[in-house]
Amino acid sequence: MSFLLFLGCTEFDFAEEWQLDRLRLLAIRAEPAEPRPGDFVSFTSLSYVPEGVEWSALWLACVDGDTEGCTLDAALLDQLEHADEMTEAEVAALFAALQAGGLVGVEPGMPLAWVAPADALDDLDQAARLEGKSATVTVNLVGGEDNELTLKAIPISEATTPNHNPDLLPITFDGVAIDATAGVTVDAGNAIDLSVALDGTLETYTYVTTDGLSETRTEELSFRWYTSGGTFGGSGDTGAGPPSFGGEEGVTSSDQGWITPAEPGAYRLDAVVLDGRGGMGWQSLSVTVR
Amino acid sequence: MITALLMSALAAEPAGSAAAAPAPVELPPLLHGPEVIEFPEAPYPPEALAARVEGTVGLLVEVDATGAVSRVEVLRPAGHGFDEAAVAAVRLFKFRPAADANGPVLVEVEFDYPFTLPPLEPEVVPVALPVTLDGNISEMGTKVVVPGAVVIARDESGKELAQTTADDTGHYAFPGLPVGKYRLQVKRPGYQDGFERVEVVAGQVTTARLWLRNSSYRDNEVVAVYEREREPEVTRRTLSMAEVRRVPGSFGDPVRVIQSLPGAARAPFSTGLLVLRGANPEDSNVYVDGVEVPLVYHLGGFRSILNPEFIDAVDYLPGTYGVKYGRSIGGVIDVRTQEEYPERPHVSLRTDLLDTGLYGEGRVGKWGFAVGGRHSYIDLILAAALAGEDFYAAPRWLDYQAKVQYLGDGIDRFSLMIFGFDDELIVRTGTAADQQLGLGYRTHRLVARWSRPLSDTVTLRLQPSLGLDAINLGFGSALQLELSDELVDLRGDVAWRPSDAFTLTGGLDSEASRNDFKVFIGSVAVDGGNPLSESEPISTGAGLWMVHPDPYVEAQVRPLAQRDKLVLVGGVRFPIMGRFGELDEDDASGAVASVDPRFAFRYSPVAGGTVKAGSGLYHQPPEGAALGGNLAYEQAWSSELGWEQKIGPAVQVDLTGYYRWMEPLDSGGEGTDVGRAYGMEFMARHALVDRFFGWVSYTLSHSERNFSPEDEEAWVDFDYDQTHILTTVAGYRLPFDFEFSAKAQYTTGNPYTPYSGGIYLMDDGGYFPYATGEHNSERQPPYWAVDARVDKLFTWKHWQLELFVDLLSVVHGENPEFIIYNYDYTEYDWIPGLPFIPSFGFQAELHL
Repeated sequence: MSFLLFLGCTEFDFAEEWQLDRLRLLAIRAEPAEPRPGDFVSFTSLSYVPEGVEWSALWLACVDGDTEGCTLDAALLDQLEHADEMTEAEVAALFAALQAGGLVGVEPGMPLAWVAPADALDDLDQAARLEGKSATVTVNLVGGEDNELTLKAIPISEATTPNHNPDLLPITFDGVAIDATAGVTVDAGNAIDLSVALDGTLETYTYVTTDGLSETRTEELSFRWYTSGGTFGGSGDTGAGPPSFGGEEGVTSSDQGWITPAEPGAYRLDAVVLDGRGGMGWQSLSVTVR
Repeated sequence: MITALLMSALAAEPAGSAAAAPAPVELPPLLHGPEVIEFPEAPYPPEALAARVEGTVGLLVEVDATGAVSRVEVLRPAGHGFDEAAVAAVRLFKFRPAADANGPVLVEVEFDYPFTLPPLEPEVVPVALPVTLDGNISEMGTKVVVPGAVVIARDESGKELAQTTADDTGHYAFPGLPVGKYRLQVKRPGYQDGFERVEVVAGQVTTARLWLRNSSYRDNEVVAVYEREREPEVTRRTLSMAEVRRVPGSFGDPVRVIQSLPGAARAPFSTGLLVLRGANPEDSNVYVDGVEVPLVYHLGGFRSILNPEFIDAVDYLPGTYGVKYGRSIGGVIDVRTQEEYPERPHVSLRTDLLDTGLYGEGRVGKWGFAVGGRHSYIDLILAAALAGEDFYAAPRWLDYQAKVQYLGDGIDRFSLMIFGFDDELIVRTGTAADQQLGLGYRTHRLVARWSRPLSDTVTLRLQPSLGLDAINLGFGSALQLELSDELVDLRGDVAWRPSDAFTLTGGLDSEASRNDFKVFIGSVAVDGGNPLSESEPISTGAGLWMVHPDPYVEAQVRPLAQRDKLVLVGGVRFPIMGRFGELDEDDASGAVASVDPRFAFRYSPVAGGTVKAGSGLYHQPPEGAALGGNLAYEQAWSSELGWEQKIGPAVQVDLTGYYRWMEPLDSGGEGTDVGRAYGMEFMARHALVDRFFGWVSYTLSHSERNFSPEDEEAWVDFDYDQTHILTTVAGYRLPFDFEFSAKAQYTTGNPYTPYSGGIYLMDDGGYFPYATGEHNSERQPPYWAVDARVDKLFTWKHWQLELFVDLLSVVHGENPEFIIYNYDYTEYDWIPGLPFIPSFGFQAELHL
């Protein structure tokens, strides 16, 4: 008890998880969100790159990754280091081999694409294929002194009701929707009630329990807020600290209090939604503080 | 005068020749002879007084090892009733026993008891006159009878008019004291003079109770932290309540003092985790009068589960203990409850910031009784102090104890005891109701003890007990877990002691328990390895029987004429573990058994010095066996070798080395891990002499685990491995019943595994750390702190009041207790140890 008591009473000067102060990968969106074996899958991502930082990202995907994600054949990687000494045909063959080995792409400059293995579900019976299994997308993001390894699960199945990525409506400031393309200007040190809502309705899907019973389930959304300035926890929030990271049945929107930065400048605000089935969506906003 | 004569007689007796009936062996010299403590004076025989005859009786007095007079023989009678009076008085004498290098011993002393006629003074009222003033003399606060006090009657001007001496019941009487007002003065060595005004009225006997204030109540308490009993254990450190109640940082709790003794690692945040000689906390067992209990401290770690006044002593056995104890491969703590009950009922109330306790004890006819209980309110204080906080932790506890004991015929010894506790810990981690973590512990025990000598050489002891343990764990609607154990235990042994040189004991330490559990989890991932797995609620339960009918046999041999000079002990325990019942419709029944040989010896080759050694095998059921887990014993070999040395009358030094090999351990549920712990323990203790007491305790230790035994290089430090543990305790008794004590402690920091980053698990929303060093390859900074305590005892006629303040971490070194990382493991900081905490309180004692 005494340990818990003092843990609760002790303040630590740590960066918060919602603070965008270093190179971060915040969200990954696969299309389709729940591919069938053999489907072509494309990826987009939401990241935060501090101004002036040169970055690169290596994307891999695999069906049976370990706790540290996917790995590439070391021999192929060795060959990649000597790609400038190869002919175009040799380079094309090397990349084909790399993609077969799980390479999704390299950013910036290379499209992020992957084909879900056609034999991904071969070890499952017909009933289990409806539930499917997860592939792992591994992203190694490198920039400046930061190096972040991210794992994201992508479901592969033959579900009759495959998942779709959730989409968000624009972020609202005190109930007013903000046009993301135009950005917004706010006063320094101001308290703003942020909100973001699902564009559409919650998906329902069929789930077969371990007892063999089919039941209709509704997605449970969870929201994450990030900002490069100011603090969360002001008006409209139920408590200090990071915003809601948990799922709650029937919730289609997220409210968050935000105290705008004290210093004038350009800042970022991001809202990310997860549907718990691998689908993700987001809204981002450029904010100018005067 | 009698006292002075007696003391001179004892002092003149050569120590070595004071032993009675000298055996044909060379005895070690006495460190000191017997010292008289209580000396009720013999009343002058009326026949001799009337005849104005004086006389001297020559006596031979046998003082046993407890200080009691065990035999009185008249060597030179004087007649006239002198002999009977002298023998009766001497039988009531109390001594501090004589002692040699091996402790207290029985001795005989010879001396003359003189009877000298009191002077005939004009003021002295003739004996034949009727009593006009009488009464009893009691000690203030405790109401203990004070015999032998002198009462002087003075007039208003202070002139002495008469004098009398109280008898051994504390009764005094003035025959023929004329009518009038008097000032009475009461005098007795060891007490402050008492004064009282009385008036003798015509035709009446005036009765006045007189009070004496002890010069120092604290001097009546024994301070001895390091006593060795006639038990076979190599290292048994026995703490009595009076010894340790004022050790700083213990909050008046003798069980907490264990953490200041050698072999015990420091528990973080004063939580009271028992890490003894490098064993896991769950590997050490806790008993109350030999009955195992699941917790030694209430939730929160501040209080042990018994009211301190219910505790008589605490046996601390960190390592190589005998076959009486089993089902643990670490250490043993056995809390012994009160077995002595005062003639006068005694009630005490103790309260501080944490809780309030009430305790009472006394006698009714041939039965002694003790009853107590406590209830905490720290949860209410924390609730008020932390109102509005998202994070909130509050423990609440109550405990109760009651015991009756037959004090009758000296043959049968019988007692019945019931005790238990009900603890709850609520941790709120958010504002929502379903973010409350609740943990509850409930334990109840009913224990009967009976012993009886079956013959001159055989003694039977039986101790059946019933118990109930229940644990509830809940986290809102997400988790509900209920565990309950119903226990039927039986301890018993038959000891055959044909002579002082040999004892053979056969015993049974049996435990049978019905273990039930129910669990409801609102959401469990169907595929635990898949972050996108669907979840389903789980509701299940089961019940299994566990039985441990462990028999044992032990032989104790004391082959030398001086019995304590060499003690050899050998025994075998037969651990048996059986499980019966079904789990998920599968038969979970099974049984395993083993053999635990253990031996120990103590030998005293020189005065005050004893070499000791022991070795033994120990088995315990693994965690979770009662719930269907691995049904295979965990095992440890434990050995130790040491030397004890008494230096003068006040100092005792103990140096012990130990080694413990643990294989297999079941930490991974597979029973494949191994562990080893080895080290050296040192303790030097200064007994209470000239108001000072204290000790220095130092442990040098290393405890390791190997989770891949096939790799001999894969040893890693144990989570609570502390290389150096140094503790010093010192106390000084000041005049006027003030006392000051302080404790300083230094320990090496615990090991930890360093992380320098994490893998972002996007679906889970958190980071999984990756280590940048081996498991437990780094150490926290060392810990050091100073605790202090000040208390003052006030005494009135009918009650006493002790005020105290326990100052925890009055000096401390910003001690880090645990490492804590930021969300992605790229930054870290230290959770600091307990800050300065003053704990005020009082204890009031009423003697009825």
